[in-house]
Amino acid sequence: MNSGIDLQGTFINSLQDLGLPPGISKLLWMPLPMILMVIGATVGLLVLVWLERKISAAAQQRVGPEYAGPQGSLQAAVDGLKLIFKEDIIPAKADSALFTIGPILVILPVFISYLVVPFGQNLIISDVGLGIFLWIALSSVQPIGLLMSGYASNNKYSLLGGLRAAAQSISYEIPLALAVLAVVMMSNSMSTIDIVQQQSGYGILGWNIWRQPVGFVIFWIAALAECERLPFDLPEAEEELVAGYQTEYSGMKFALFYIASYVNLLLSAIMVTVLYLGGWESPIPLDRLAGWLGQPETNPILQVITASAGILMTLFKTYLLVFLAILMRWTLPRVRIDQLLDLGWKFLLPVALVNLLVTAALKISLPFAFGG
Amino acid sequence: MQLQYFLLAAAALFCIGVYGLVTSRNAVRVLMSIELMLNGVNLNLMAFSNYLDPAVIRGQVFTVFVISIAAAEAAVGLAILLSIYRNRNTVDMEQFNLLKW
Amino acid sequence: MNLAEGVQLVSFIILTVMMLGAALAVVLTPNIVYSAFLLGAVFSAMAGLYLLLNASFVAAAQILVYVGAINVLILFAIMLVNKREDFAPVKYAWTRKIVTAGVCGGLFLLLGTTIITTPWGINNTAAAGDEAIYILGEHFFTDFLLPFELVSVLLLMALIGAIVLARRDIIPDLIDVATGEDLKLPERPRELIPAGSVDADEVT
Repeated sequence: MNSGIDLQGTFINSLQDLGLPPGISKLLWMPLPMILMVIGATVGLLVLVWLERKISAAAQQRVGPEYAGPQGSLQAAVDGLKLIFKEDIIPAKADSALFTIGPILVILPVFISYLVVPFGQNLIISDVGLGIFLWIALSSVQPIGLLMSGYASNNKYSLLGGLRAAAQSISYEIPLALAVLAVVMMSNSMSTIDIVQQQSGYGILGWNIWRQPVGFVIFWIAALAECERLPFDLPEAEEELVAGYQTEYSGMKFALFYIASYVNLLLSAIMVTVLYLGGWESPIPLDRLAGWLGQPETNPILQVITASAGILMTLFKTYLLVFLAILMRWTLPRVRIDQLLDLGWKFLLPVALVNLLVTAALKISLPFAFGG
Repeated sequence: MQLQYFLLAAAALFCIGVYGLVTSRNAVRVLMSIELMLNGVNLNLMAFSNYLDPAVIRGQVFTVFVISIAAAEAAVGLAILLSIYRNRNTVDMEQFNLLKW
Repeated sequence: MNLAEGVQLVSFIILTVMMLGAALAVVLTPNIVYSAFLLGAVFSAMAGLYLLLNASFVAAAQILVYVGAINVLILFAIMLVNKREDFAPVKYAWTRKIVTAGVCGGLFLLLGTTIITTPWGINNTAAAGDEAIYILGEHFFTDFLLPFELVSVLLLMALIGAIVLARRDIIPDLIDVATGEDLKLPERPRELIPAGSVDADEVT
């Protein structure tokens, strides 16, 4: 198997050539991908916010942000700057400790989850065996932060928003995990790298979406609900709850919620890409193309090209899904809380269970196609 | 790193749980103390699994069982608590003397 | 002691202090909401300790089930029954506390001496690590199959039991027993509170 570009090995080797001991050079490598990933997530967030505002504007026949930067593309950065300079208000009757910890608890798990996001065979911070399960486990920490900030705000709307967020998050975690389980069953591994590997080789035809169409739909609905996107944005439904758990927040603490929700949307889109759309694989298998052109797999230029193509493909698919999410935001009306819970428990959960069972049966009967 | 450190930590956690279980008057805190005790037991099992049985890891199997039982216990316990709260309008353990006689 | 062991020891100390401190606070703080959030800290520290014990799967399961489900459930229950009530003082409550503390301290001493004096047969085989997931799966479907299935039935029972217990009172008159067709259990409607009424008990 072509292992592709190996930045870590190259970096450590070159440092050792400079005369550093191996332990130190590994230690020097460790923070680099993390910093890169945090920067990448933040830039992705800025792009995402700009896209959301532009596409929303287009959906409503407006122009949208225009003045900050070309086509208003710096609008999100400017907004961030404004939020940094805003006064950080803690309401008088609020519980200041919990009020401060809440947003941190909301944003931390999202950024930690980027540990398992793969952009290529070796372009991942840490290929832990748990992979996708780590993401599911970490995303279940978020409702605690939401409940905490909802409670600490000492405001009815905030508390209701926090409770709704927690209820929604617990309910939709189950179908989400069951949909992931079906994919994990097919690839015999929870590692994100292995899940993409199992889809590779046949271009677009090998992707999981053809083998798991039901799972894809369940996962997408559940992921939207986990991210609290419309049509599932009940915790912050403006018409009912002012702004839900964010009502009392201002300045950077509000920005933390804002960043967390958008980075989480980006993360969910990436996970859909990894699980169902072949991750960094191109629709036409690049390895074979290179093989026909007579290039060896170890050719360094080819490796750089495939690695960048992988990153570009992942981002392209991710932003396509984000575009879909934004379109859904302006197309679908918000569901009521009882409809939301009915959809989760009475429809998605049984369907996800049946999907899991069918996948298991197909895996036994058709082992060549469903990863026996 | 030694097995004994983990076992001592687990024993301390268990004892804290017992103390909370007996002295708490809020019924929710009693449930939380039970969770603490279960966690102490879990830590014990995991330490044994890693130090005495690292290849077969039966301790981890039992920990997973304990975790699922704890989930069931929490759900039923809190449901009972809610229905008691509706009937007696309090969560004070001293007031729950329905089954005394 | 090499670097890896030093890091392990330091993280063990940090996690243990965090776990025991948070656990003590869970039991001792007067504010029940704080103790519920601190319980989450205890669970997270436990997950960290599991990682030190080479059990990444159980650590993730701990986060998922304990922090993500049980702790949220407890918080929900607190928010539902959170009434600022002052418990009526009980006579000799302090004796109970002292006696319990003594018993717990004694229990800890007893356990501690047992732990330290017992010669443990440490097995130095390499830990399973990431393979642990596969080994766990094998256990569940071979030698621990019966308990595994029993746990699944127990979870189903707990699910149904919790729903039955937690719903509002059922009105027996409205259930049509004769036909048996209507399988719905009508709930007693909640009394409506007029807007603007201040009920000191309900407002927290």
